[in-house]
Amino acid sequence: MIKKLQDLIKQKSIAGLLFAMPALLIIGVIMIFPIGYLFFLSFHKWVGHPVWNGVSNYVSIFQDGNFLKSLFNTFFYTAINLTLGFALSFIFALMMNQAKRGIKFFRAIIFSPVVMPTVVVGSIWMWLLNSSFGVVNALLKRIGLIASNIGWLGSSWMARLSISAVNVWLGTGLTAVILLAGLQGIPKSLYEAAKVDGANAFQQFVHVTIPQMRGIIIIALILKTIGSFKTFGQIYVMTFGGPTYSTSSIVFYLYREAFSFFNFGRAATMSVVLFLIVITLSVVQLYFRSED
Amino acid sequence: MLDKLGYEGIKRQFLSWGFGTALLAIGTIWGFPIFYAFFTSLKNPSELYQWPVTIFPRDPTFQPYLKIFQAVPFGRYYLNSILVCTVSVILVLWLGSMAGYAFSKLEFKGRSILLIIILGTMMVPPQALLIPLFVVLRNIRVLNTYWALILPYTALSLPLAIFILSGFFDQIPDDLQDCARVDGANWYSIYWRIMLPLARPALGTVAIYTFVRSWKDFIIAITMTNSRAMRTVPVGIAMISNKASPEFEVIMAASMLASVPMILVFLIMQKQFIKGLTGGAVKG
Repeated sequence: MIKKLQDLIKQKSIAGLLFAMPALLIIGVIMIFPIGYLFFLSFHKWVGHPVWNGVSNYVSIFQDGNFLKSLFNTFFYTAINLTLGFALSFIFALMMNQAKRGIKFFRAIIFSPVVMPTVVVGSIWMWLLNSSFGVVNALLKRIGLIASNIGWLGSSWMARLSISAVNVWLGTGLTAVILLAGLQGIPKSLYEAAKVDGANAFQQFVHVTIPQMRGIIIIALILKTIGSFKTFGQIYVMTFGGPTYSTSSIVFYLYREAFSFFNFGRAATMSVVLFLIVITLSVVQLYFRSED
Repeated sequence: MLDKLGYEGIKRQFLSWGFGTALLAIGTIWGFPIFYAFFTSLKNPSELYQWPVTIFPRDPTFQPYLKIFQAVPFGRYYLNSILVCTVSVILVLWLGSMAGYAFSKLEFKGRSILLIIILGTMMVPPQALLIPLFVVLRNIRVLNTYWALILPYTALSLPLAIFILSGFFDQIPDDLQDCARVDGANWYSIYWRIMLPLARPALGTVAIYTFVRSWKDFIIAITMTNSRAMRTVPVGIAMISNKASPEFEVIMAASMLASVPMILVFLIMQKQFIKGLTGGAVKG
């Protein structure tokens, strides 16, 4: 009897390993090995094959003005997403939580950009912001806000702000839906108790909503940060990083470095920077999620 | 009516209507880029490049839609995308559910550490792995083939699939498996005949997540393939957008064809969608 049981367990463990093997193999080859290889490459120069290069890639990328510019742009996009984007998401979530009708329509609209390819979003906005025949210029002229057409993607700051606006449009839906789920999870009794204590709407928001939402707010902020660090497709179609790298992101810059200039070593080093930032943020997020 | 609701009730009713109307108004403005892209896709080219700018097409035409299939091999791009995404979905469902079943119901050595490693890979940004992945795919000689896209798409969605599915199998009592075992069923038939049919709702979430994520991908497709024949829809759109004189009515038509199917699926299955795309942050 005991032997039979042992046999069964043994069989079970072999079966288990076999069942998990194909998935483990693919994840191992496509995700895990490349992580190690990435760090390896970051200490090498690529001349068709890797040649040891020490830390010189790490020194050189931080002396590269255009990489630093791309790093700055990425942080700038992140900052706009976390302030303006997050505020809008929160307002939208609160409105959806209060309204009785229009929710489905609204949620479908703000979530649509999330399921669209980023190059599609970029293409649409490139047309909207077209300096000669764009509808944004046309509408602003019609209501008299501007006298002549604006080149939205033509100058450094204008382009940077335009891309930031597109990022906000693109990412608000996802954050709003996450926050809405958080709002719906707050027990109604807490609000009623607060009301009995004489709290007005604003006080209820500060003393019930915010503390109850703490975990989910942090998760949403970190997810938004991670998303901002991956910005690529919209830049590729709208500005191709220009004018003179003023809209280039980390991902766009490392893509160009690797696949236009074939400096795999330096590009790998930039990827390590991206990797470490995102992983750190994810670990922090995981911590809050488990606490939640 | 008045008595029943009271002052508070009326106020709440009023507020909810107010918010509802505001949602409709803001939604229309927020969605304007999509609506406008749709209207543009129905215009003649002459209507695009003139003042005053029109919003609704003056005389609607399907010409731009016909043109994307004539001027660029958009049909080929579309089939490429569908093929690559469908194969990835099938692989993720099959391999992911087998692994999920193994992690949940078959105690094998080292499974907890392996599960932690797999879940850890969910945090890895694929954008950071482009260069080593390119070298790996080159060395296994699949660059510029469908496998150069299918393998990464499968690998990127598998961790969440295993996470969702093993969590789902955890809720199924062990007795079911033990009974089948006593009846002489082998592990694979237990997995295929008992576990898989039970997991249908979770499989739906995983399928949608994998399909949308793969469909949206641009950066992997543009780095791992280079021939015209291998282009996916996003790559094709990026190419016609980056032309020196882009034909926007054609680009908008292509954009509609690239996103409307996703939006429709989203409308039909909002719950699974949101659950998948928020990576489990929202319990639906």
